Amino acid sequence: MKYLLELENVSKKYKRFSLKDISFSVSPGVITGFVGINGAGKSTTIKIIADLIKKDNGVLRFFGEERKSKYTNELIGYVMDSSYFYEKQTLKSIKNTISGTYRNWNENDYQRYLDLFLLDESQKVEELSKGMKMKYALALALSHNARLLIMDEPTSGLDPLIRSQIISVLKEFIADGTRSVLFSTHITSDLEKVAKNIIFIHDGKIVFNEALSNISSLHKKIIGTDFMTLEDCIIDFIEYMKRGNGI
Amino acid sequence: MKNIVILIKKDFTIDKFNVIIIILLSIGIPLYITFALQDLGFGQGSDFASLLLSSFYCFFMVLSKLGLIEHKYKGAAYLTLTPISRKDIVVSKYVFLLLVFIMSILGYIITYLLVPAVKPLSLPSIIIAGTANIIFLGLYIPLEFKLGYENMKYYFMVLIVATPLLIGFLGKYMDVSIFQNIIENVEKLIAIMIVFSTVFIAISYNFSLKIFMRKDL
Repeated sequence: MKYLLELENVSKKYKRFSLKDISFSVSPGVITGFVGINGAGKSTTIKIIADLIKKDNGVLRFFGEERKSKYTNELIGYVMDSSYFYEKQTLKSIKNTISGTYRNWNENDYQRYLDLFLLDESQKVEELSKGMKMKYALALALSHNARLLIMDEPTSGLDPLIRSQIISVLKEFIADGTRSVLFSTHITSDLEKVAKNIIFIHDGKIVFNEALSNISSLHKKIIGTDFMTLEDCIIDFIEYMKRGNGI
Repeated sequence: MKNIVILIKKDFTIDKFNVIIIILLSIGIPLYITFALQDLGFGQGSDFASLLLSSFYCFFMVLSKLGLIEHKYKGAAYLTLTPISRKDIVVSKYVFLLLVFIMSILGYIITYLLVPAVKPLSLPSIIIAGTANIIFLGLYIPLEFKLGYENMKYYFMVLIVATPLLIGFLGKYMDVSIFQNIIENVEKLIAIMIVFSTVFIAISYNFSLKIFMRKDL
């Protein structure tokens, strides 16, 4: 199997926004950054991948196959942009519900992540800060031997220390070369530390899907200058497109 | 099956007051109805009226609470990211409400065993109350999947306002002997009610499944 995730001409139309023929793939052993400004279509794409939103057209493949059974979710860990946890429940009670649904739940991994993230199972979700909720979601997503981790803006609004911890965990996750992360964010500095590939989406269309190491030459070719940071690069490309140019 | 059990357990435990409310209503309402009807000089039919009201109020309270929690935290969305399927969520909703109805029956039976004034619960009463609830829930569940909690608050409001108006209308314009006939021939109608309830709930389930499978969460 060449790719863990493939999207082929996926589209979704709303009244004021549409995703247009989104195609990209995620290879094993890499962290892929999915970048774009607010409203570009990152979350809609992630929600289509997660089957929270139904696509209008196109094909989605997980581990080489179109999703046909609920067991595909055994192999995928999701960390979404907002907390979906019931606030009045304790972490332990949520874990008891979630862990029962997975055949490959790994309690040792779960306890290790709780220790690493300094989370106390007896706490209620409402007692956790945003960063702690995100770390808890990550602990759950990484404790059932997932092969693909899909994250929607996981580091948005978090302090640099927590973001650094999450980045370290992601590096460890893909270290054996068989697993991957698709990481949607607009904090591009996080991606510069870990991502191998960058997918840039703008106005519902994929602008480019390149190795991070190639973006510098792409920028030089199109804009004609070097860039300091990935964020500057993305801004340059957006300004370039606003002038009616294509990339 | 395992996922459905997990979901049902979640619905009972997500709010610790759910089970307490069901117990209090399923015991309290039969007690109240028994003594209220006795005071009014009625005895017949108190078991049916008690079970219908206690189960209805249990559904009302539990569905309102679960609907509010679901609306606030979008838990169903998170659960579909696990190996729990959308079909599991729909099935669990119907089974959960069946269990609430069974708890209402058990509550009545416990009250009957403890309080001598409470009349025994007859099988026809269970079936008629069950059929009435199936009509109510069979409409409510697909509509809730389609419209969401916010809009469904009005379903209960309309039901609560419309019921006395409807009863008044029926009392005024309909031949009361129809109801008299139903009560007198209730045992002959049981088979029809069971068939009707089964078909009605099967249709309701299929609608719910179609709606929820296509829904953006």
